[in-house]
Amino acid sequence: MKKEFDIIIVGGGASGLFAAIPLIEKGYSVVIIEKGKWREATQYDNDELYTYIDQKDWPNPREEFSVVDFSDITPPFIHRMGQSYGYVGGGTITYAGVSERFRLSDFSKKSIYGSISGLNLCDWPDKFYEELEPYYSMAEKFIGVSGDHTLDPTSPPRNSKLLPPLTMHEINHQMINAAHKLNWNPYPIPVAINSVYNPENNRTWCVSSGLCSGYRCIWNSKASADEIFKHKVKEFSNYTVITNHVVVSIEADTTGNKVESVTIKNRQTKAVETIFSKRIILAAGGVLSPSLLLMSKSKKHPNGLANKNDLIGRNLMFHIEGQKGAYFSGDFKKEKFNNVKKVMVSNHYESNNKEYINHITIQAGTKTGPIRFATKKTKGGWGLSYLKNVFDNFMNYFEFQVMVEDLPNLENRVTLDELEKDVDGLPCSRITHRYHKMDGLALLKSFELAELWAKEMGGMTVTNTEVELKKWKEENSDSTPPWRPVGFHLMGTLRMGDDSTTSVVNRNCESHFVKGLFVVDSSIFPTSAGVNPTLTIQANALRVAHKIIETDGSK
Amino acid sequence: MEVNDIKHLVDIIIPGFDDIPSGNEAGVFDFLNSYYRSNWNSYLTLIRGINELSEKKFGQKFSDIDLQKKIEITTDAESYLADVFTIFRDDCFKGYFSHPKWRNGKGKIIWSKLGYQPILSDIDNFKKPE
Repeated sequence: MKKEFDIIIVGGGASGLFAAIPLIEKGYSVVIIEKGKWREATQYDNDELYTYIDQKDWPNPREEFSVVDFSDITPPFIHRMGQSYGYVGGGTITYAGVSERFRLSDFSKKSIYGSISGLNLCDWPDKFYEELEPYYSMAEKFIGVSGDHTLDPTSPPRNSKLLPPLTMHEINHQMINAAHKLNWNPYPIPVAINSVYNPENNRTWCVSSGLCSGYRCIWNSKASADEIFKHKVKEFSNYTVITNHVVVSIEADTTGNKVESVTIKNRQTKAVETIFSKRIILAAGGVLSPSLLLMSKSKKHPNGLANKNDLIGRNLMFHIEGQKGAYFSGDFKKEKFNNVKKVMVSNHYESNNKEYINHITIQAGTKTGPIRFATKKTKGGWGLSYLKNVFDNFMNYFEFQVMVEDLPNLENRVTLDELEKDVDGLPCSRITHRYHKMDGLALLKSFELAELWAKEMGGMTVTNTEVELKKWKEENSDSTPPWRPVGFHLMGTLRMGDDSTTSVVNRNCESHFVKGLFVVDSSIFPTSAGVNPTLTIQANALRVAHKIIETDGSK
Repeated sequence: MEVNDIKHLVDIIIPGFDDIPSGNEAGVFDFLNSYYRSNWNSYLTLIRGINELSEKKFGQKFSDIDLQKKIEITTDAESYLADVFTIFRDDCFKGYFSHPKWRNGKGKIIWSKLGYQPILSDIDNFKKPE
């Protein structure tokens, strides 16, 4: 195999594949190292039991996991890594596809709110949205995003046009009407799903299969990064995707100031080899990217590669998420089963409430499959009366997902576990995370809003997962809010900024301390926003790739 | 004997009604005995515990008591044998509400009675535009 490339990209998911596209198109020799495999859409067995409940398509949780320390009262425990690490395409294979842009206020959190005890707020680099906007538009075009942002008063300015929204079902119309009665501005969520045949990406339209969020779209109507990548680079041959390999370390040259190579290991044969490049782009995600840098110790970098300021792995943010479920009257059995979130409300994005500064959205309309529905209830969830209830109400149950910004804290971090090793013999990541009081208060508020919405629709709200949180608030406790991180949307651990004392990479996402080392995944995010991160990840990856091209072009 | 008790328990957890099949009619026992064979020891622990509860309360084995008493003992088991009960309950529902292919094709009516009709795959028949 060729040993030297213009660009090495570590990770073949949302960010790595999007960073690769412009570089390949421009003629750079690119190699992408991916620990998973390729898998065609038609090879997935989309079945609630096999795929969603038992997750048999995904990495063995006994082999790939993190150690999670999230609570003051619960000891650390082993947590499976999840479905993002199985195949080329990463998390975009099964994601819900929500493709929202961050709002303008997400980029200037510190300027707006100042310093707050217990938080490590900061702004994104100056005028960042203006710089990112053309790449948001580019990403939306590659992906084929459907929806209607024009109805959202918080939507940032843009120069793109989205595909028409996905088909709304009866329940979605009810959601929209109810939101209007509350003087809210509901809108069709921008999602990475073609609503019509899209000649731009040659993917067909959504058939409302009912197996969307949590599944691979076997029709490729939902955009996964691997299909977009294959389509965009099909005329090119100047790239290699090495699958089934892990990167064991990243090496700098003898000065320690420039990257030089990566050492990779074949996951089957265990064979190890080194490949060389003056540019290495990290795209392994908010936990594995910092972990790899921490593993890449050397004499010049005793605390991990590029970790002079001890910031690698810090400021870890997860989105704070929860579901409020409700039953609605009506004959929904004649409707198509749908598990795509269709309607969103962002009116509470910025709070007037002095209790918290987190940004909030509510995303509505998703449904759970029958197995998950039937096993939701614990005590008393069996027998004739229960079964009749399941058959009568399955199609009448809908969920509202609340998404709340996680605020950055220096002590929320990724490190390497001293004891546990994964199946590849590498140290497991150790995740330490505590929510701030504001996170708990914002989450409670978001549940209240979801409940208000459901009740305005005439729904009987049934889930009360926030009962411990309510008790915590009533007791005015200073303890950590009792909420467990969901584990999605891992951000912040290789923070971007202009100041090398408070950030890991500069505004071009290159390390402050090691030239040629770039990061393009959500590790670089200074804030987590109240919306899903994937579109911003992909837009930024395109931006960084273009910056590299511009830099070389100006030489 | 214990195998029969497990079968009885399946139909206590998922009884049939009207034209909706019970757990056993839908092939749930065979599902437990194949797809979730790895959990069989948990099921045996549960059923042995249930028999103990039944002997203690009614002086008879689970299989010998009437339906109402079986329901009463199952309710007790839900509290006293919570861990293994939950595994069994969940596995029964996973079998019952999964694709019929996991139950040798039995219970095909279940999804349509729920109103659940996902499009599993129809790629060959789905025509893309020219």
